[in-house]
Amino acid sequence: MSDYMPEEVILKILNGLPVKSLMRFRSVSKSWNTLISHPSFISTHLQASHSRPPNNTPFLLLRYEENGRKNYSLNCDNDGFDEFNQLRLSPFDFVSDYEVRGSCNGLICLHFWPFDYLDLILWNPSIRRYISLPRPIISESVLLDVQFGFGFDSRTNDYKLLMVGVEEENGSWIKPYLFSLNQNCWKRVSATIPPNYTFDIDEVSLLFANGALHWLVFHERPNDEYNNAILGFDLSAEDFFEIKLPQSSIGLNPLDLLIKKYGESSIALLKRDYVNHLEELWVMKEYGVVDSWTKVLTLTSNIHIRWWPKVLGFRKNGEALSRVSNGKIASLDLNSQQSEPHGVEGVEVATGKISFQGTYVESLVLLDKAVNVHSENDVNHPIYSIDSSRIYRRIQVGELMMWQTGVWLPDKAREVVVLKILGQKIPSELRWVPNNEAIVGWAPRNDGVGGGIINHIVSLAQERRWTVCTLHRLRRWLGCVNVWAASPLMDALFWMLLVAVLLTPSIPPLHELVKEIMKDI
Amino acid sequence: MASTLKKIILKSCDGKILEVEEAVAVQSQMIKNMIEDDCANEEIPLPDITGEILSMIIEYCKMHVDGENNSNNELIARDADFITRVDLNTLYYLIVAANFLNVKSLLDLTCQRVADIIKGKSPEEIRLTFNIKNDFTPEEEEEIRKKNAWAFDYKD
Repeated sequence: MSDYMPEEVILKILNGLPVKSLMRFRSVSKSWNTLISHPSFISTHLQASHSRPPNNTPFLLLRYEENGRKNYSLNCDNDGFDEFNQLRLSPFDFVSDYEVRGSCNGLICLHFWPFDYLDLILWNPSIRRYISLPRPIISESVLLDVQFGFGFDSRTNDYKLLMVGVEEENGSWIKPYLFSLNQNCWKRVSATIPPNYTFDIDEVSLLFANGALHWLVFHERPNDEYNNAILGFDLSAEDFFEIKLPQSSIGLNPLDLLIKKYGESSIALLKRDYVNHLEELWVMKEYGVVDSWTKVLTLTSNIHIRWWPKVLGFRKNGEALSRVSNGKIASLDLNSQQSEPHGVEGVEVATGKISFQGTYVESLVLLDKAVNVHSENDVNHPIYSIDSSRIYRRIQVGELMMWQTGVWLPDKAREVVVLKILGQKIPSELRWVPNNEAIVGWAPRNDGVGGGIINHIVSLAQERRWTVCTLHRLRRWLGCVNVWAASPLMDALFWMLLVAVLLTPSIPPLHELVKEIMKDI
Repeated sequence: MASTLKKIILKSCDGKILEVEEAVAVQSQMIKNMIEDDCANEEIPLPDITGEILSMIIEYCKMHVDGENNSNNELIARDADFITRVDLNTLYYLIVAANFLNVKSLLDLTCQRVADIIKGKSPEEIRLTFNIKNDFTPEEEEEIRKKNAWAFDYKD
């Protein structure tokens, strides 16, 4: 092009580039490398990405389920919702159960709950890096359950993760924990959740909008009446506040209400009428202003209420995403007041159950972080070391946590064995796994990652003299135990380590066995 | 009527004189400042801008003044039409001129156009395009390329 370009012009050009090109151009020169990974460039590039017109590469983050396995994908925010990327192309492929706890500025907060309820990472798929979070030091004896919310504090330019939890002893709220990415540590929030509020921690999701996390709460009154509200947590002030709901929603059963992010910085409320098969969409036109709640849409729902909600979320252009039939979604123009997506052909995004996780923007966030940051093609992912060490730790914690124990053993045929522990409630599935029953689930590919796990387990087993067996042998050993495979019968090369140890009928009761194992470790 | 509109006189580095209506000229923040400071009554010499480039910039500014009442989409379409006619070499001079004259929307447009042109290029091509010296040692370069190997998959 030519000899000299002012630096501000170079910066402007770089701001207009996609993330992938920038990652490649880090190898142009030392100064380009420094510039691209500088925090201030990361911020201006992000702002430029946010301010592009809606049809210019924003993405939607969708979750769908296939064969009982959760998958996430990035889709373009265009009429065909074209798939941009499968988020399963990740080092976490071998984990069949994880949840997105929030997504903000290109960072996705993943929660690997089956391993351990405190295993969390912040992942930026567009630069293929992630940071594994340190564990909070929990002072409460045992937590019954926890929930997380993830967002951005623009005042301190920091990403924060809030953990709210219920104490096992008396079911009361603990003082929430807050993680700061800048500080790379957890702390206790001095504010407490107002004690007169309650919510179902299994059902609630913490929604980030306008610098705060939000979730639906209620006061329960003796005569089965409710008093619903939105509880907010300001990530900057680190304090709680309340937002009132429209009058018609305050007394409803909380299960008939849901909140969604609306536009850049406000909240929408979904309300279902079980009897009349109606779904109402309300939006708070001006954030925090109670009088600005407006009903914008009423959908009739002739399908059973399990299709609730029909409205999944909102596109960047303001249209609502609505479920029209299994696996299909359509775009609804709120201004035209169409009560049904007439004439709109739903686009099949993926098969199975779909939910909308939010809009996504590609960014360079995390590129300037050095501590605990891992690239997806690192050989030693800290996340891999979770499997052997933490499985046993959880057993040690006590019976209560046993349901969260799992073993992931991959095989060369892309499958893995998952053992959910016996006779314990699995809250996420709201059912009990009967005694003497193991669940064999889906598995990852036998790529570098899978192979690494196999090797790890085999060497651990040799070292600790565990019994390692194939599925074939396991079936013989287990006798009466019902092992069901979610996949076609696996071949004889599966390494079934802990499953065999735990389920061998001739061995002592489980808790005795656990003690035995713990002594060895 | 037109004669009553105030004209600004611009002089390019190759001696070309252009008379521009004030409403068009003030698209340039620099000229706007000069008018406000009462320094634009005589011809304004632009030492680094050729007549050809200056005409293009005026064409662009005029398009924006005339299109003020048009819809956003129309303007975007016109911008796209304007910018795709420009080759990379001319783009460079347009950028330098837009930067000097401080025509923000044109600077945004030209920089985004450069970004769109270069986004699929290799680091070697970028060095050539921007005349950048590779100051990595071969080992350092190998290291950083290896770390970001996935970004060298040019499929998209």
